[in-house]
Amino acid sequence: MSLSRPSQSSSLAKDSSLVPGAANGRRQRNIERMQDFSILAFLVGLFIVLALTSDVFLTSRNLENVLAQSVAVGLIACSGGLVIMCGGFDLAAGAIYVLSAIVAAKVSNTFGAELGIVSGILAGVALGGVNALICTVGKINAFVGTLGTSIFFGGAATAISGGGFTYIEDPAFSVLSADIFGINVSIIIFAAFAAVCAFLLNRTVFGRYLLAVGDNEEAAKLSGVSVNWTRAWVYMLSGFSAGLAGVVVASRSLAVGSSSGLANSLVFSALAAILVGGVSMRGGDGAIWRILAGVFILAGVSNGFNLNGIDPLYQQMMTGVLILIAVAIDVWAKR
Amino acid sequence: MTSDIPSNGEIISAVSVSKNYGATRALNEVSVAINPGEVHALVGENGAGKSTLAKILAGAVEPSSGHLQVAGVPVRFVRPRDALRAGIAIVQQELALLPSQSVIRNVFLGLEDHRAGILVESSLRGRYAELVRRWGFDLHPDMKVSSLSIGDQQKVEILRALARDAKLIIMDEPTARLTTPEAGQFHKMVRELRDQGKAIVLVSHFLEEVLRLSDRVTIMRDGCVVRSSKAEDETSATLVQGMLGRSIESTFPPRPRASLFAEPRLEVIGLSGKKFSDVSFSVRSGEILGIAGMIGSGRSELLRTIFGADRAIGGEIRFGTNVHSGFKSPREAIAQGLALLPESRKDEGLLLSQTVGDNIVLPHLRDHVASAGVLSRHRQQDLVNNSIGTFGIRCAGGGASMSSLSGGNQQKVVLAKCLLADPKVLLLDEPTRGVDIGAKRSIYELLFDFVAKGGAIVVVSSELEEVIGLSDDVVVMRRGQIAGRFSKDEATEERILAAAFGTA
Repeated sequence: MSLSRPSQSSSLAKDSSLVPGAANGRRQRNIERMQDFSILAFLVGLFIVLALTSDVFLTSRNLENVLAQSVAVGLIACSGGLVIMCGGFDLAAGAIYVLSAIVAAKVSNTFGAELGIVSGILAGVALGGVNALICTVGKINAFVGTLGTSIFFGGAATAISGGGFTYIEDPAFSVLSADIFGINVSIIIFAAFAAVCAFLLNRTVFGRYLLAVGDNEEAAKLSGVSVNWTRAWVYMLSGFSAGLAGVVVASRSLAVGSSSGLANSLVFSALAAILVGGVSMRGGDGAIWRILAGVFILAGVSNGFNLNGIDPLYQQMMTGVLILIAVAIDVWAKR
Repeated sequence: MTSDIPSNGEIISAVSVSKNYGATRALNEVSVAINPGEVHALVGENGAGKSTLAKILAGAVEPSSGHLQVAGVPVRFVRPRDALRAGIAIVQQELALLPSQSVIRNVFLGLEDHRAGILVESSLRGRYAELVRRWGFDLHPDMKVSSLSIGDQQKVEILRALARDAKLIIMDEPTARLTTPEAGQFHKMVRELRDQGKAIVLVSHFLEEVLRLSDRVTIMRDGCVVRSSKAEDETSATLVQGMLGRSIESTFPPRPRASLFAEPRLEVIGLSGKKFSDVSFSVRSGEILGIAGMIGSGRSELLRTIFGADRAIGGEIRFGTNVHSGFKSPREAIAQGLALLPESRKDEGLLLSQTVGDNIVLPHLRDHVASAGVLSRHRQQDLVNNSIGTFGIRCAGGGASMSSLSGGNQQKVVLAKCLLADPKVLLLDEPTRGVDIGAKRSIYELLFDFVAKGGAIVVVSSELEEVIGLSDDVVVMRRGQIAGRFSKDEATEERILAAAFGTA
């Protein structure tokens, strides 16, 4: 109970560390700008290098291929980024992708392509809902909880499909990878979903809440934000995007595999893009456009290695280095 | 400062030690000597500098000026390990144990016997048995620490200090979290340690304990030592007098007393929750109710429970015309017209990596900023600019990053956030903690303005001056229960302190 000079309360001692002053704020903004700039510069630089070293790179066919191949990773990275900004983690997106594609294929073979597509996406949302329950009401650590469901969903996928490929009989299913106005539908879906995510994040109450929960859960709760509901919606969105990615990719070959290796590599590619995009693993910070930049940087690197005939082994090493650089910038910036 | 510091024979002494945190002087030219075989109590109000001094002696904090001296030789402790080497250990209020490890592993953490990196468990057990026998402790070495009572966990920390042959053990509020029988046991243990030649520095809020247990008492106020004297020369009255030592300034503008006929805004009836029980009070429109008490007396938990952030165990809340057993969530409380300014703006109040504007509007997005879930930027901008003006928040606009603001301005942001939607009742927990005098005064003016317009305030504060200056009525809490109620005319610092310390 400090009675005299109020400036001497011991509590000030604790607080002095969190009053960094204007200089610190400016420094932080500068670093954020540097982060934005470096990622853009890298993307543009990569584009130029690829254009100069390969004749094929700038052809519309190659670019469209690169984009189309990025759809699944991109969809999962956008919503996966939102999960991380919200202070969560979704390791199960890959398994949801595989399982909902199988559901879509099975339903399509019985009830037709339209119902198949819808049920595949809804399966994704429902499986996301399972993650949501486990990580909110169940109070289980997101990493552990989604690792558990990931393995479970993967097993369920094998059980339902019988282990091999499931072939989609209704050719109408391939509408998701047809061309409209010369552009592949899957790319339009990807662009639209990214735009929706950016809108949700920047312009809606939901977006504010998810950043608030990721930034400081307690402060968000005391501000009247329902922490559990916010997290739950984010996991369901992540399930939605995984289900969507599942049916989109299935529509290309009309064949759905059940390999969990595919599921895992998809999750890790998406995570790599999110990290290269500078989303803070601590939550509360990130941007969709930077995640997209991350997706395209990794896709571009991969494409470039292919076109120039370099051993894909080096591509993997380069991806690792890029992640470390991006994360290092984030960690050093916040110190 | 003190006249009777023995120059030799002491375990450690502080010589003109000062500590600054930014512009704040937590310790001011403090000199004190700790002798072997004595229990040396440090008393003072919250913020008097006791804990800072304790941390400096234990090497957890380095002094800004002055130095420490061991056996007449100046020493410098950069980290706790340096102090440990000089035989000084600290047992913090928040125990620093590995909860899922066994007692024996905790005691010998960092002292393990090993041969080429491979643990030799057997010799550890022998050492443990000897340690326990010598000091008369009764703790099974294989118990998991998390399964022990707080009192036993404390024993583990003390054993850990003894295992390192500490000559001096500093204990910060050791009995604050103990039950009465546990505290009794603890007192016995302290006496035994002293009789075997150990020195104890006891930081305590409980004056009876201090008088009963210690040989020497150092009274601190505002970062200075008031006096160091023999415990037998002090009484609880002289201690309180020494801790207070000054009169209230008139930082508080005069304010008409709330009308006795005004309608009650918030009534709490027999409310119990985590860390408090059977608390009743009511506040009327235009009234400020102060809640005083020591840190840890259950005040913050009370406010959080009223606000729906923690669950009530029993009792009820009457808010406006509704009677219920507590709000289910802060969201419901906010919707009904309640607002809480939480104790720690860093941990509970603010999103430090978001902007000033985003922080101010966060609780009000649905009702005042968005339509159908979509945010309106200009509506937010209007609200934020308005708040920045009304509350005199000094920042580079609503887009400024939260972490670029000073403590006082950050606190104004939290207050602006609370008041944006015109709540009926405002719950304040340490409203001016870490805020400079200028910002403090403007916060007081904003609060008086709020009650003048018919609002009601419940304010928890550890600063007596603030509680008395702000409140119409004062309630004092002690160990989770109401230990005293005073009207404005009755509320003096002495009475409140006596109730808070339990010496009334």
